[in-house]
Amino acid sequence: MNRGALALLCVLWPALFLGSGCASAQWKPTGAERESGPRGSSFAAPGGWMMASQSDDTVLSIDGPQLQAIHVTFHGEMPATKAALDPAAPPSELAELYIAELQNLTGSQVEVVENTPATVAGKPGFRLRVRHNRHAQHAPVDAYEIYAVGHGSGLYVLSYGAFETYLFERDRAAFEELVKSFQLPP
Amino acid sequence: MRDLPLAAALSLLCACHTVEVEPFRDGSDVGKRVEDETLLWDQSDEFDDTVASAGLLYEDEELRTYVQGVLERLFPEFEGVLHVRVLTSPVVNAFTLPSGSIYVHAGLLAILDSEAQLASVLAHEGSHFTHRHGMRTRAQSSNAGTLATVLSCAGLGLFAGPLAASSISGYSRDLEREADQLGFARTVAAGYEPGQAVEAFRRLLARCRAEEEESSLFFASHPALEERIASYEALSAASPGGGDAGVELYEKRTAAITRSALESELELRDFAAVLTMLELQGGRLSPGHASYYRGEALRQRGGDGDPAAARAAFEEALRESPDLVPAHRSLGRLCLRLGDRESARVHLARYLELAPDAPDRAYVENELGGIPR
Repeated sequence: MNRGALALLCVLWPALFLGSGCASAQWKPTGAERESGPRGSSFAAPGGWMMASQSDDTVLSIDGPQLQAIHVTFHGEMPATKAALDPAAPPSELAELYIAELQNLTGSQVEVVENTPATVAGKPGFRLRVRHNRHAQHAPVDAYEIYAVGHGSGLYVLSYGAFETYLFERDRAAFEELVKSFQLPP
Repeated sequence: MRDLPLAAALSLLCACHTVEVEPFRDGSDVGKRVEDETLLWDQSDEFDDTVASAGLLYEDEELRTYVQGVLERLFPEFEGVLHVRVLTSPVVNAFTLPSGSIYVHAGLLAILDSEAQLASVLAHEGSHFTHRHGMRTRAQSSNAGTLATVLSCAGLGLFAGPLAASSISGYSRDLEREADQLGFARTVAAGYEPGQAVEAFRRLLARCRAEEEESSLFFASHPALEERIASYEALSAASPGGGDAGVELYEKRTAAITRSALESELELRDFAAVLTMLELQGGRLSPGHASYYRGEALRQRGGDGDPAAARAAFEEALRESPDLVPAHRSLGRLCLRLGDRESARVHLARYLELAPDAPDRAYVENELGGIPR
């Protein structure tokens, strides 16, 4: 599995995070300074969280990535569908591609609750609210909020995922603040 | 990801062998189960519950009743024992549990085009049940007797890929041949046109060939489909002919699930599947829809010549059905991409006019607003 697919899976399946290549990155506490994201991007991280970076994926969590995680990820390609990614495409088409990627990775177990245009780092992008139901006994439903924007040679994706019950709403404000602070490379 | 269950199933096939049990003669026989078989039935019931609670069933009672009716016409002596369920999945698949639960996927219904073709698949699947192929297919490993083993031997994982179908890859070749022969006899006895069985398997083959990667794996290990088409041709040639095809009612009952399967494949960006399904199901869709879906597959695929072909398809769709709402949006977006701003403006505006509450209204408004005057 290539890194792009792994990053997407880490977004969608927090439990995989520790058992995968994502876990090999070094964790550190978030600081007061702006943090560097993938490919020259940057953001202000919520205080008191832990973060780790590897290749084109930066992850932040406060209770552990099995419970909730924010990812800032760069995709130069769509790994599951192999779809060509044109960063200049309209946000609606980029959203279409990204949803196809999620459905392919999960066997169509993602429910898109909202799909709307959004401004990300001052540029037109999209925002998704999705639910991931693994249909497995006792498996919790995960909720995700995802912002993305095409820039340079690919797609910058900021996602927040947590168990739908309790955790998702608890930490969503921290994610929204991170999104507001996100900057693309020049 | 889709080929993983198939690979796993193929690796298990060599471990499957058969034990001998008498076939069920009718519904009253099914109480005479041996101990291991009772376990398989219990597990089948659990499987049914899991599938239902996971929301994987296609909710269309009229369609389910129709398919169940075809099954009962084929197996009247098993009424109340054999049950069919329709799954939302766009994969081309049908399979039978040892308890007589038959599952048919949306993708299979979408590529067939007559009731007689559906009957040939159901007759084949029902014969796996009546002749207790689940029980007869046992593995040598220590987990022999579990439902997972039976499903694996039948070429199935729980959410198997498009080729891991018992209608296609199946049990051992001998059991498949037996189900073909028994099923064919049932189809003819029920008054269906015999030649439709050949057509059903031709359609399965055409759809499988659209899945290039998987088919290379499949055909390397299972030359069964082509062989079975030849076998059905021989059976059909030796039969008296006549019988019902049942095209009209089948088209009516399956129009909605065909659209659903097409939309699922589009969402997964399986464009080859979409184009093959459109080729196979011909005019089943409402006016304009086939052209619209063809246009969508081409627009999203975006290969050489695709944008122009997509535009022609959308224009054709709108000639057939001038108020086909999504065709206006797609043509508008395509025109925007092709630099034809005026046409883009016309079609995007028409889309919003026809669908004022569209969930993607904000996107379309942005797109319209971005077109310079």
